[in-house]
Amino acid sequence: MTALPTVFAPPETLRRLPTPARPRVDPADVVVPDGYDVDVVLAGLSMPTGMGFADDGTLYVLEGGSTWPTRPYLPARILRLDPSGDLAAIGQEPLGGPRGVAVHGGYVYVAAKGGYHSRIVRYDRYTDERAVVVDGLPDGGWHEPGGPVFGPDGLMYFAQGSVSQNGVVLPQGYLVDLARHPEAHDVPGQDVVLTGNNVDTYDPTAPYPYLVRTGPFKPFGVGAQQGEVVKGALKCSTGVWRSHPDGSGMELLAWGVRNPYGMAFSEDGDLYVCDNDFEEYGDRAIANDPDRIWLIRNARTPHGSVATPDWYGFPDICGDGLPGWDDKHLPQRGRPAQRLLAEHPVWAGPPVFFEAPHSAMAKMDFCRSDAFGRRGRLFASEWGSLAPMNSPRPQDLDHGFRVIAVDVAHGTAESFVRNRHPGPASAQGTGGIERPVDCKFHPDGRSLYVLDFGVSQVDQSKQLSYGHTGVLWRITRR
Amino acid sequence: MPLLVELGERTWTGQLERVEPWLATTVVSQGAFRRMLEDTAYEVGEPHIRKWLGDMLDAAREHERLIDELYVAFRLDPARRPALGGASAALLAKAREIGAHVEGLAGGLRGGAWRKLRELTLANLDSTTAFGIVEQLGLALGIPLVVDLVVPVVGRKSQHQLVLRECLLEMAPKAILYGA
Repeated sequence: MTALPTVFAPPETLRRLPTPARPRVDPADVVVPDGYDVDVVLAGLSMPTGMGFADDGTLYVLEGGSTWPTRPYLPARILRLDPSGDLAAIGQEPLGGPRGVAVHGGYVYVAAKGGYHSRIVRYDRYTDERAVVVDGLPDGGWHEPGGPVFGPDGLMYFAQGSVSQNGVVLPQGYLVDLARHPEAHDVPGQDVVLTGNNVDTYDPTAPYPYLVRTGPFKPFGVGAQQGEVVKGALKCSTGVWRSHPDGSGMELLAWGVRNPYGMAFSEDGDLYVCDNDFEEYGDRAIANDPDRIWLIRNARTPHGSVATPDWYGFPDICGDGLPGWDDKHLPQRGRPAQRLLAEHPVWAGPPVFFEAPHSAMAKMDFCRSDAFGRRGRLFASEWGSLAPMNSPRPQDLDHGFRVIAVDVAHGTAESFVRNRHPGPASAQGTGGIERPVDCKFHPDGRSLYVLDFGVSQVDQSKQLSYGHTGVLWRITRR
Repeated sequence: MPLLVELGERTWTGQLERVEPWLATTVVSQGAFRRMLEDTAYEVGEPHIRKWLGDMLDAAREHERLIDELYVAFRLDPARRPALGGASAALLAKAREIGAHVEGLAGGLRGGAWRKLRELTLANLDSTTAFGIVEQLGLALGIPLVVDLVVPVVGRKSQHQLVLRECLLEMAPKAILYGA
């Protein structure tokens, strides 16, 4: 365990931070409903990606290391904030870094992105001893592991997003992934038959701009054949699983969930998973796909009883149930999508909640407290849009950048934490929120903690994220 | 009361002080590249390549001067940087030229300009990486001005790298097979 250099910061210090990318942090610039107060717990975090409470109020906060984009790569630390206020690092994960954390039965469980494979490791809360409990989840590409969370049955639930952005590994994903992980590809959760539709593009890693042809569930540069069968695998991409806490008894509940970064159980034991839309750019572009929250029905079944996992649409079907090549989803920029699967499994939709495209829904938590209010609402952080990089539409520029409280029974939501104007604080010159990546309720039920990734600026050609600009906010009911 | 993580004055100042030696490395690396470019640009007989190297030299001088602004962006004193074109850069440039000469002789080469072009390709790669590392430090420390200054430099020098490599490959058969 390593203590971190910290200093206490009175409000005037928060208004003149040494980081020009985020020179001030000011709770007065954050808007919450009447009856709630906002304050700052931590400032100066680097690329924070997730957090989780122990029952005693100890908070574990993850610094992601190599995140979005992959540089700068800063220490991928698992931080522990004691109720006394002491902050220390209990461990570091290798390249890729930690993405989600949950505390259960004396262990801290951490989902980490890794290289070709994501994994779940657990740290002993008292000795910091580290052990890998799940490994080999297909990655090496665009999306993240989701969870872990623990269900009322004591089982561990976790997920893994897609390797490709939009169904085929293409240069529009970051080039470093094509160079570092040339064999990376999606894996289906059940046997699929391919149409033989491929995507022709160029290889930016080659000494000449060689043309290449790539199919779904294939590494970059490998084409698919009409009628080809790709075998499904337990360890697929776009999957949602459960297992015993030691990783044994792993069972695939669902697949086809493109980016299941946020997972949460309701008080009555239902599992909800958020999911993000296809991108409107590149050689398989899909427009107007809504962000969404799914109910994972198979989480209600007895452990070990799922014969066939439910399918939620990736790589062909959008959140609204329409195919990616439907008129509604034709792109203004990039090449339209073609059908990849000859036959679609039964679609497990519709979602319980639709959100605006490119809100970038992230981690979530249910309110279980009358003291805080809004009990039963699902609080969901929204990292915020990557437009104009991944969408040419002006209306997509300021989607997200807030925390919403979702009524999953009615499919509605209210904006709960936001800036005075839509968008990140850095675009408005205020001390408000940038990109909320996680929100969790303190075990005392009085406060909602909101983890703010920090400044990540986007233009048409690039994304730049700045270290030491992450903030942990706290919203408390008066 | 909120906690600042690694943003206290003492920690922050320490981080900035750790940047300074890398900026000095960048000065030396870019200076060595520029000196080698000066030596090479006028030796190349092929007129198109000579023109490309001449254009590159103008940019290389501008990139070298820009390092002063990087010191200021990091709130460091530019007076503490190594002198542009100073002894360190000259020494590094000379060492690389000697290395190119020795390697060339071992390879049976007689084309002096081509040998220098080969070393120039490596020197630009080294100095491009030096600027790229400065960009990472600017991102890590939350200083957009550093990034704004460096991203165009890395982009331009990456283009130069393509040009240098193409020139090197184009001239290679003549240099190796004909000794010209």
